[in-house]
Amino acid sequence: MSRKTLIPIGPYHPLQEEPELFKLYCDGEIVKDVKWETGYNHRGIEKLSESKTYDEVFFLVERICGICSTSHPFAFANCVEEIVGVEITDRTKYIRSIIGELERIHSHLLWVGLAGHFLGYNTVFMWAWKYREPVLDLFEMITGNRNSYAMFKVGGVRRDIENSKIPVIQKSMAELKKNTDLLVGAVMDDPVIHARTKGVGILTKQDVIDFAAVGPTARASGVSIDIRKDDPYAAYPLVDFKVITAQEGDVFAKAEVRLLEMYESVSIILQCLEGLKKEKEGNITVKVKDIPAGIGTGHAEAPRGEVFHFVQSDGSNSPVRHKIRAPSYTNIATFKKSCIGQSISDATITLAAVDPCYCCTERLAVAYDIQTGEKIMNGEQLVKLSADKTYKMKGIR
Amino acid sequence: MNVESIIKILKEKFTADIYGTAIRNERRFTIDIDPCSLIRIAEYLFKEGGFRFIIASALHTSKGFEIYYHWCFDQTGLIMNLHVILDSKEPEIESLSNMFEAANWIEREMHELFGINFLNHPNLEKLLSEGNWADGVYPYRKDFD
Amino acid sequence: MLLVGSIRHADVLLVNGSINKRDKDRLIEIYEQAPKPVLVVAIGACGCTGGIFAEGNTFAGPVDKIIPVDAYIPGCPPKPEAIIAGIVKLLNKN
Repeated sequence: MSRKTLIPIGPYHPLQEEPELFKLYCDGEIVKDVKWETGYNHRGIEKLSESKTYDEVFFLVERICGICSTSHPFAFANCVEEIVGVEITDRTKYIRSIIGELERIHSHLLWVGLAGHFLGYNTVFMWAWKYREPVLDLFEMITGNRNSYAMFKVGGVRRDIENSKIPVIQKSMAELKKNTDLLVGAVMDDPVIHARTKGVGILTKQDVIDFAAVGPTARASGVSIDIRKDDPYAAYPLVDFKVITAQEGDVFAKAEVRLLEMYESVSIILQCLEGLKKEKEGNITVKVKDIPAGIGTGHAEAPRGEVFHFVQSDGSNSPVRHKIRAPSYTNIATFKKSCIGQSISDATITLAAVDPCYCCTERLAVAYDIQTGEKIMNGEQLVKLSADKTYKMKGIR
Repeated sequence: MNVESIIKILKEKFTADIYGTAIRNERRFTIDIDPCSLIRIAEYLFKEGGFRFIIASALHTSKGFEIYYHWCFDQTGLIMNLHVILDSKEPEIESLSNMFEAANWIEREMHELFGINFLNHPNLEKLLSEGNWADGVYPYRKDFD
Repeated sequence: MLLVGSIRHADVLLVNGSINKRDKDRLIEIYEQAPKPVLVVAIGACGCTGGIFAEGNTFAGPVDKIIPVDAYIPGCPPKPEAIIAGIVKLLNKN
């Protein structure tokens, strides 16, 4: 066995947004085992929550994650409103669902870009993120910020979407649909992408159930769970949409589910906008004075799957216990199953297919030689290895 | 399957183990059980009942260490909380990780934050705390004197 | 400005996010590996002061308590224009 170079780069490096350490133990080219270290982004949010009032907790949970920033306040609002037993107005429901779906679109576009980057398709990366900008502009128009929207509060939303803004959003959605068609065509029909993603990183239906995986990760393996349909909240009972599933459970299936979900999100947004037109402007809050003692559970379908919040209240202004479970907490664990037995050049795209969000749960994959225990590749090199495999397939370089 | 029918089935199968139930609304309920019956009930929920394990959450109170195991019945959107109370001096309970992987990480986390011992857990090592707090410190424990 | 693969090739170190106790040693290590002179930019409310996480039990101090900082770009999150403006200001100063 030839000696490999040890390059000591920690869990931080420029190509990964968040820190976590995945150790892949490899025998030659094949991954045999996966170990990981996490806790680099542990901020003690659940504990912090106990020292804040319910209104302040919304600002805290929003910042758990930059990409799925709305899904946490969404689940938390569902949770607290369950304890209080309050019924929100229809206008609130539409606004909440619009924000939630816009977020799903921008998150999936971000993912498509990253997946493209990991496969060596940097043009896809640039396009996807370019088409994402109008969605972020819409957020800025509606909420004032590109991430962390501060829209939710107990009993309602903090800002209205004035009816005058509706045509702007509709126009943006029409543009987005055209751009998504372009992306879908470029990605789904490319034979090299098929070769790189079909049959790669398979997660079986049984694995999904064993790990209790959620979101597109589960739906791509034929397990049809979607909180928006199973336990409808906000405006989801008032609109029509399909839950997208696939059967193969490989990276291609996960990509397919995410891409097709974007169309459903656009459809939901357009239906909610029609619903908004019929509701009285400004009717966006219900007064809530106290949070009674008791427990509440709330979940919401974030772009990555089910976000779950659990609150124990004793009638005071702050939660006694606030438990947060992000979808990536359960989904990242499935990486163990989908990665073992594969070649290391497929490791980055397999991990990316889970769409891990470490703020919500951290990222770097490092390959170790199983026999000598030496680090043979860091995360950046793994990404390069993946991109090189694509170039070889295409006959470039 | 609605809340009442599930409670009825569970009470029939595990009569001696359930000491309390609380229904909050038509899709949310809590069942209080004896810690030693956790494995039997969880096995029924997971293997036959078609429930999905969401997560577990622990809290240190004057009664001891209380754990809520949260389960979801996706077909009708029910969320059930399985509630156990563990001894405050030596909190321990059987691990669910041998039944399904989904419990693995959260049991490690509860062990790190509260010092609860999960018996027969395959690898009760640190998940988050390396470098963040000292060994033997359980930061989410409270003082009740 | 180009993103480089190793701290040893870098002239500017961008630090965003809050630093917890586990990250602190690694941040110091990275800073020491960087060839001097290196400019350090603390991005976002978390980098500048710790933001909303400053009271958390694992918070290890804002970036300027760990390594010297040359520029601060506040915001939660800072807009892309703000980040560019901040970097340009820093480069012009030097």
